[in-house]
Amino acid sequence: MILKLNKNVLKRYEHNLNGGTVFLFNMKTEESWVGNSAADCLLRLIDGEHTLEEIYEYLFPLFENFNENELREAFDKIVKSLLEKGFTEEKNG
Amino acid sequence: MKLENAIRECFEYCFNTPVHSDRNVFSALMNSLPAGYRFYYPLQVSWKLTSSCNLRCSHCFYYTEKDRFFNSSADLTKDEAMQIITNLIDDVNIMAVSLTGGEILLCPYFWELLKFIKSKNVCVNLITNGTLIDKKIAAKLSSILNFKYDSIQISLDGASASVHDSIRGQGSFEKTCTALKILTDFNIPVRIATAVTKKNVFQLGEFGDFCKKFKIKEIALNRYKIVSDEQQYLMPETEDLFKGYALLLENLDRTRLDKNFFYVYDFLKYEYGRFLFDTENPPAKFGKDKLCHSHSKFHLASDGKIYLCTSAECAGLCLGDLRKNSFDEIWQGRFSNPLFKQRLIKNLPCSECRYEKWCRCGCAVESVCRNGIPDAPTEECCFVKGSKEYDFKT
Repeated sequence: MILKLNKNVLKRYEHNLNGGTVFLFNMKTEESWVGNSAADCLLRLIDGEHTLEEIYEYLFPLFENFNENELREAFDKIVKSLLEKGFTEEKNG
Repeated sequence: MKLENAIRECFEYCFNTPVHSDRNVFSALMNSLPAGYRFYYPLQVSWKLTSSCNLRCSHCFYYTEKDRFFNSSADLTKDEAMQIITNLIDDVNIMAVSLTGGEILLCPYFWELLKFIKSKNVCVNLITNGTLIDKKIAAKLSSILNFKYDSIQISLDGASASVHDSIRGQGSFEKTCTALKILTDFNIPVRIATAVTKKNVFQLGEFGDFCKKFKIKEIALNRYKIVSDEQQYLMPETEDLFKGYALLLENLDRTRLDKNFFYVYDFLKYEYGRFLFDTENPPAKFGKDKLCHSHSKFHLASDGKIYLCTSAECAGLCLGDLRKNSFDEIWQGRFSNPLFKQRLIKNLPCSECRYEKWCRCGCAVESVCRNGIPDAPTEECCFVKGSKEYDFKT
């Protein structure tokens, strides 16, 4: 699966808030989405070019204190939330 | 109008009118910030896109050094500008850009830059004198901007040609009114911005009818700041500011007025003003951190240099140069700059002043310009002026 950010979305990362908080704003629907610093790491890699597996392969080694299953579950939850709320979408083709 | 009535009306408007916010989409962010929160990176930038301008307004803070400030030879190239804005959006995550000048429509890459910024969903505020706006430009703006979040601000310094042109040059009022009519025809909401000087303060009462005529939704009145003694003749008297503003309030109809116009010092100059503060105890309206910006914004000049604000640019208080260093390097180094240091008010007479919680010792840039350090009140402070009439010790 290749994901891309919805074209109406504006992203803001707040370094000083709760250890790092990412905000996504859909400028069309006025919906917003909030995530932690791990979510920000994921979002930075969603570029409409790389598959989710490729992104996970890059990301997982950055979180040394967690095993792969825990990380996969956590990131899958984030991805599901982003897709359900329309902040990301699957790239066709 | 009696001065006391005018002071009362202005006081009530300044401190009792709730702050209006159009950008509800950002409430998830703004409502989650704890008191005194300091941003790691700024939220917004005021970008002087070009030094070029087709007008030479007599009140302009660039007017007294025309050779220096209106010279566009040192302006950023298109490639430099695109590189900077890409970094500011993708890495710094700025959320809003105010494009100003000079005159922004004279910037050779204005449209390309604007389209790029909007493709990234960043909010835009365009500040222009309006004299170059025609139907073609209005149509382009209408197709690019989203007026739920974006805005166009037209500078207007009089409700008549005689007043406006006396500041901005002959024929400019007619051109600006033409632009306002065109923008209205395209259903483009416009805010007008006025620098209140001695020349237009008595005409503020007529702005209400002007706004109705052109369906203006919002007015921003700006305090006139003198950059040089040459411009002293334009400085209005405080009493006239109160009277003019009160007349404007009486005549505005469904036009929103920016309420951050008065300094606390304006009220404190008068016994009745001090009485209002002492008896009404209004809520504090200035920054919680004794800084007016909580590190949330900065000013980018047309040559790539970074300043805290336009006042700092005129004073030459540069934070860094994006042609030489990255934004991150400059911004992380800001704490060595006196403008970003916490003000140590406890060592000053201000610590005993019962009005300090409102005035917060005024503009830090002006303190630095006057004293070399931010730890001092500005010149407008009645205490600083040393008059016995203004003894504020409890």
